[in-house]
Amino acid sequence: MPSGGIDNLVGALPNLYGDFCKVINLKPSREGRPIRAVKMGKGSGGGRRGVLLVGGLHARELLNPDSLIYFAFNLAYAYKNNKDYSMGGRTYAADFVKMVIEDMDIFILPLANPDGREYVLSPTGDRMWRGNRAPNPGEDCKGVDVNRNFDFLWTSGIKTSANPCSSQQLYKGPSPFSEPESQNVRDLLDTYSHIVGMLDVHSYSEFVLYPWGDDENQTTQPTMNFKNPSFDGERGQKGDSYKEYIPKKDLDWFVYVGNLMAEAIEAVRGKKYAVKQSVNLYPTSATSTDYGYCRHYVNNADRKVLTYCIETGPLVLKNGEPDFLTSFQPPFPEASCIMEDAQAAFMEFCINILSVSGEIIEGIKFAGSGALASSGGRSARPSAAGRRLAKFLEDNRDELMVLARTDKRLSRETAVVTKRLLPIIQSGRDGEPKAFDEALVKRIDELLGRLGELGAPKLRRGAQAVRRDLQSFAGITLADALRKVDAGARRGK
Amino acid sequence: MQRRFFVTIFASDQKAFVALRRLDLDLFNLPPNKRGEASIGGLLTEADIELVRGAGYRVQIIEEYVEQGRKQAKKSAGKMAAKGAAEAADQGGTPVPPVQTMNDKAWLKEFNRRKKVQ
Repeated sequence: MPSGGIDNLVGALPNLYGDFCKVINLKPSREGRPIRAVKMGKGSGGGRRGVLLVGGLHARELLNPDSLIYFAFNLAYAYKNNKDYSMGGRTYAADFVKMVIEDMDIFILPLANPDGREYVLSPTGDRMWRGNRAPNPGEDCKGVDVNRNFDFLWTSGIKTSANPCSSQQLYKGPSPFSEPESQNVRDLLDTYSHIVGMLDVHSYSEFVLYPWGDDENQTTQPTMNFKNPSFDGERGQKGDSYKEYIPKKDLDWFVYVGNLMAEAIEAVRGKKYAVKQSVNLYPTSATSTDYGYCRHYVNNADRKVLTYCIETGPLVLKNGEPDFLTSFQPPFPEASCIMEDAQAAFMEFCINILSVSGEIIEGIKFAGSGALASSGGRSARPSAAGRRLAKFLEDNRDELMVLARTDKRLSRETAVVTKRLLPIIQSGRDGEPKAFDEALVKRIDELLGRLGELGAPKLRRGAQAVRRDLQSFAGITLADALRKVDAGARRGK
Repeated sequence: MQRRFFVTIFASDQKAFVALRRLDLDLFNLPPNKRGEASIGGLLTEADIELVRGAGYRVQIIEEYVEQGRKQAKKSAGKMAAKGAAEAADQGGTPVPPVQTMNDKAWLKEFNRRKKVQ
């Protein structure tokens, strides 16, 4: 679609789905074209999380803005009509859709660089154009690579060019955020401080990439990081002594969720996306994803934003040779399939940013920590049952998530149970713990039974133990239930 | 506008491309080929190709990239247009047609039609 068409469709969303879609006007492009994002989400609340999905930073990667538009419309349609959201072999039950729209805010900036896109689509333009169409004063050449214009190691020069007439189209601009197209991404992160996840969509290669992009990751030396000037000049070279620090917890999350996104893509029609650190594509600097993730290191007041870059679509061969133009711009039938793949990844990313399983585990840990007094006002001690339950979920989270989404009925039931369970778990942390009702306990029990049947022996055994504990939960709060299980175990001894 | 070519650049292993990445070139990712050779793609000018070959890499030209802008410029040159296209064809290059697009109204109509079918 031309950039005007994409903008019109962004504008159409609030007309069609006004109760949960709102347009956000951003700075216009260098050539004055409107740039707008859409915020999708119903409801509000302090603990609400946001995600930002960005497309079209690179002009020649044509299908990604369309893909994000499809995602927005499909999600909105599914929510409004209480329908499942299906893409090929992957289905997200209507309750998952409901959870995503009602429990989080999704910000979609489908076309960050409309000028570049128009130039690519113009009969007098260039289909291999990458940047925006910024005039570069004193130069004949136009354009800045918007995805090399972010403030992350911008001065380092790692895989960027300071030459506006660069053959590689990697001109990083005269200063970080010199371009309205990159400013808009920064402004969204600044304005909506509850955004904790960002996904930037590019082409091609079939990769799910996570930070960092400037150098290999390491998890043991926090002082060896992008902010430390004593390492200036050492970054951007794989295999040497400098490696970029990333906390192990974050790295584990990136790999874990990256694999879930890849699994979601594979479930659509069998395409295998590789999950890897961004630097393994090639070292970069000043990109949106590294900028998004680095913000909380630079300014403690900023929330951590977990970021990925997806490279959609395969390398296409023609007569045995790479066909780069088609790889960047596949014909519509193939592009349509790639867009379905990508939508599964977007949905999976949103669900994991919502972090239902993480919230539940943290809530159980909190309830079992002894921080909550019992309903009788007695001081509490850490709960063995709480530890056991949290450990079961932590150890089996991956398998449970996969099992819960392979079957449509299970997927729906998991969504319903999670949706009802979450407020009870969270209520303990909010200081007004709610009790489990008997019907919910029964549904959790049945769900665990079904998942246990499908799972590996370890999961089955763990599920059986949890189901035994669950018999004590009906009618009381989580903290009290855990104490009751502990007391029962003591009596049993 | 300079002529540009889609190319594949070969090296003994991926590490050999580190130096290449430092040059001012429009490069694309490529997986290893069936022979296990490390390779990388690019859209290079003739001068770029000479530079890369001079640095010791093997460069295989896939085809000339004749972008629309250049095609149009040739057309506007009247009689030169046919000659230009023929020249491009001689060199294995095919002027790249513009991308076919759908406008937003047609898109929305098609989206709604599909949802009704579902």
